[in-house]
Amino acid sequence: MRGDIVLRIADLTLGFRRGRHTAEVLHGISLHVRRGEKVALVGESGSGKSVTARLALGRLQQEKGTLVTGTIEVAGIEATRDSARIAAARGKIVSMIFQDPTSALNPVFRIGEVFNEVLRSGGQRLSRRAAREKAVRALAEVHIPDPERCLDSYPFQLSGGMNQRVMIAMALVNEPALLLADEPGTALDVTVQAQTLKLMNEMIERHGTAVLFISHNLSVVREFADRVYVIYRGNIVEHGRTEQIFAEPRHPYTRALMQAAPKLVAAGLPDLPETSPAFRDPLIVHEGCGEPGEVAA
Amino acid sequence: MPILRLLLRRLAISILVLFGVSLLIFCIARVVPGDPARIALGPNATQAQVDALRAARHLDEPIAVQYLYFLRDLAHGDLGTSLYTKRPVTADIASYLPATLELVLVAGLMMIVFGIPLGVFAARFKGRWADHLGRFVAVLTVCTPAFVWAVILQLLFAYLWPIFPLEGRLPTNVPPPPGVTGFYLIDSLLAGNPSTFGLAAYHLVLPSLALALAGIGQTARLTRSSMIETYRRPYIEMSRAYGFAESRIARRYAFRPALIPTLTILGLDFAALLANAFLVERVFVWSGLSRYGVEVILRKDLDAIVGTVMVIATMFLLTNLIVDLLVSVINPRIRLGEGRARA
Amino acid sequence: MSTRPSSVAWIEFRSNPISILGLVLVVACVAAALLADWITPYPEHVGPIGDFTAINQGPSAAHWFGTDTIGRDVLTRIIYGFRMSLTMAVLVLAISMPVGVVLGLLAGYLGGWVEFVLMRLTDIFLAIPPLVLAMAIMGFLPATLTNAMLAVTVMWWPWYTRLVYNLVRSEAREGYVLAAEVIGASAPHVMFREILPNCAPAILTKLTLDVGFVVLMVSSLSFLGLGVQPPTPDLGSMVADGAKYMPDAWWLSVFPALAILVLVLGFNLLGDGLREAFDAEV
Repeated sequence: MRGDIVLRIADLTLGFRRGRHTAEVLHGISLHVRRGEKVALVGESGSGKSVTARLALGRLQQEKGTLVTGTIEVAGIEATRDSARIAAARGKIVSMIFQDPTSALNPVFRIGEVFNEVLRSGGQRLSRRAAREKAVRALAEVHIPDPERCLDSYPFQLSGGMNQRVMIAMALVNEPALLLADEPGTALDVTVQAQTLKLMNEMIERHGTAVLFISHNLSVVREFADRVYVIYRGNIVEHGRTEQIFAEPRHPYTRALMQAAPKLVAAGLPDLPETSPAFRDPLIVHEGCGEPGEVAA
Repeated sequence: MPILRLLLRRLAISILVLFGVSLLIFCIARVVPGDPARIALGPNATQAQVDALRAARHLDEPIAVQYLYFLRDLAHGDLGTSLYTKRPVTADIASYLPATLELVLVAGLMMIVFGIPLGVFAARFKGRWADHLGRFVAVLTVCTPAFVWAVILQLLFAYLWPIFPLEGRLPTNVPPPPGVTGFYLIDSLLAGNPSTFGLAAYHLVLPSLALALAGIGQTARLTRSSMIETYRRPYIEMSRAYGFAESRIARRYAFRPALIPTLTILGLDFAALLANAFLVERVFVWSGLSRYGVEVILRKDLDAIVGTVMVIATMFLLTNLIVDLLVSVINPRIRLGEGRARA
Repeated sequence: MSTRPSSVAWIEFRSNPISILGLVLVVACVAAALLADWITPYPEHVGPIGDFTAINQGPSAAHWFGTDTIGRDVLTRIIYGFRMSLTMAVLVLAISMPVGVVLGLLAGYLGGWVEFVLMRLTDIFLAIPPLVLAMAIMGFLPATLTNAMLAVTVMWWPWYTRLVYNLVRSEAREGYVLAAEVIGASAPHVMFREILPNCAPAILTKLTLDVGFVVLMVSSLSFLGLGVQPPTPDLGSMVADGAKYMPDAWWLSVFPALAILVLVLGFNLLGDGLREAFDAEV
């Protein structure tokens, strides 16, 4: 038993209804993340990977015209339909890191004020001094040189890299079971991005958090993830451990991706110029992988 | 301190603009066909009288010279003499301005106190029936001219259901409080006269409401769209992802950034208040600057018109300055020196 | 996504009932104004002569909106008032909009002292609250219809200048502008062929809203006696004249006031609808 399942998604479909048309975005995807694991969801833009993360947060379900079927379970909490419980869990049991850290922080509030609110939503009833101490410690943990000054600053006064660290600190300060990372560091330059990922690794290993990591950057995935799901147009097409996927990509789509992505530069996935009917081949699962409750391939 | 530098720069530009305004009005006044002295004195005056007036007002000299006279007088605080009241324009303005200011300030307060919360409320419940209803009512208030509101309010609440007084700042049998500021509300309190205070406030309700209604609608719409725009920002998504209470987001984390564009336009809406006061004062027989202004315009009283316009323009520019100050309080980028805001 | 941009905007517009309502109101008002000679019951009441046997009558079958103090049919005068208001608005905007837009383009794109002079000039005009400026101009001119229109035109152009100026400043750094400059396009070409079309949605939205606002401005001027003079029918002066007879002959003020509301509301809703439709495109 490798660890409890922190995120379980089974046969999830998602459609947006507008007027008489319904746009189907997800066609029945399944994935899981166990405690301590780092799982990547890889795909092009428009593949449905970002909405999957939003659904795991319980954020899309309540919008008008959204149709969701299937199962989403976060640490045992049912999140398929909008419920108060998943809303209460946000910030506490599940948290998220965003693509562009500077724009994800409120520009007219100091870092310290936002941190206080994060702690508050995490259900921690702390005195002002205790909250500040906790924030200082969290910032020190992510190697921010002058935590006190950082707390008193506004996001525009800090660099992108610093803001990213702040974001990571905020995400982990309430010890969530699951961390969703939406293209972390994409908005930063390459060296800063590398440092960020190293930091994330360190933090996650220390806290034992499970991570679902959305990305379109293959080299980052290779370095960081334990397992990989490849998603294409709302369908998971391949699933395996990182070594397996990169050594031996089996699905036509995955193979096309690997070939198209430049090997040397840590760039993102280009949108593939050609599509092929073979991309719609059914799911290929590598040995030893498989959804809980299913028979592994 | 960057904010001080900003303020001084704005002040300098405003003064430049005011000079431009004076030049503009001055030119319009003098360039227009017809003999201002003749128009002022009427067809029955003798030519000698007209000529005497022309000489006294330097009307036969070139425009540039006339403008210099104007500037010289301005430096001494002299805005000329009104041909209508026969008093110095400055004295006229000083006696009528407070009434208008009181009205405009109360209306402005109503705009903020009612308009902004309504906008926040509508944004939070966007798409529901309360939002649609609110938006429709807001559009109605914006589309109706202030004088129509004045007439309707007067009809409903002063005639049919006589809850409020019909006109004037005070009942005819009540003397105004001793003039310190000219604001009846303040002066009555200073004189220790609560009943006069009550009566003055009572008389203020309908006119300021008529004046404020369009502004309330506009402010509500502006706040609403600003809030909706802010709700789309990544940092609000982040707030929700972290489980911040929705009510706290509405009141605090979306509200403060949303206020920035709203405040800026609020300053411009204040201009509308100043302008529409002319209309409302007419309906409610308010002894304010607007009535004076209209009378003076109808009589083509040159000096008085120029003086009134200058004063109004000054007040407007001052308001914009104050609004910018408020915006910089909210927007740390301006306060701490990073140029234009991009909240 | 292979939808043409204009169709996206149209779908958005079409699906919003408020915008449709605005369009309907506008079309109705414009149609009424154009067909005034044929659809009004008493077209002869436009002038100073009314039906002396029917003075100050309330709404009735013969006169739906009643008659005024010299026996003129209120409904007829309101419809002709629509024609007057719309004509004035069109004339005012037909002059002030192009002038304002061109000045804004010049100021925004050419920069330097052109920008400084033009924008300071704009600031000066905008430093005076709109109605006050129009009133001040009217103060020096005989109060005729033409002069009222002139006054409003003179004070209206700066709004377009400021709008276009801000747009140009943000567009000037966009890729398509730089591309055009690199291949050696002349300044007028860049301004009018490249940047201006991108400003078109904002200008169009403002134009639609402005029809309503010009009508408000003119009716306010007329209310003060500085605009249209009798016997020409104008909605604002009708409200002013009727206000004296409140509350007894309420129809003299109420119906013209409602007419103003309907007209302005229509253009406002239409303008808002356009704005949302254009936003959806982005």
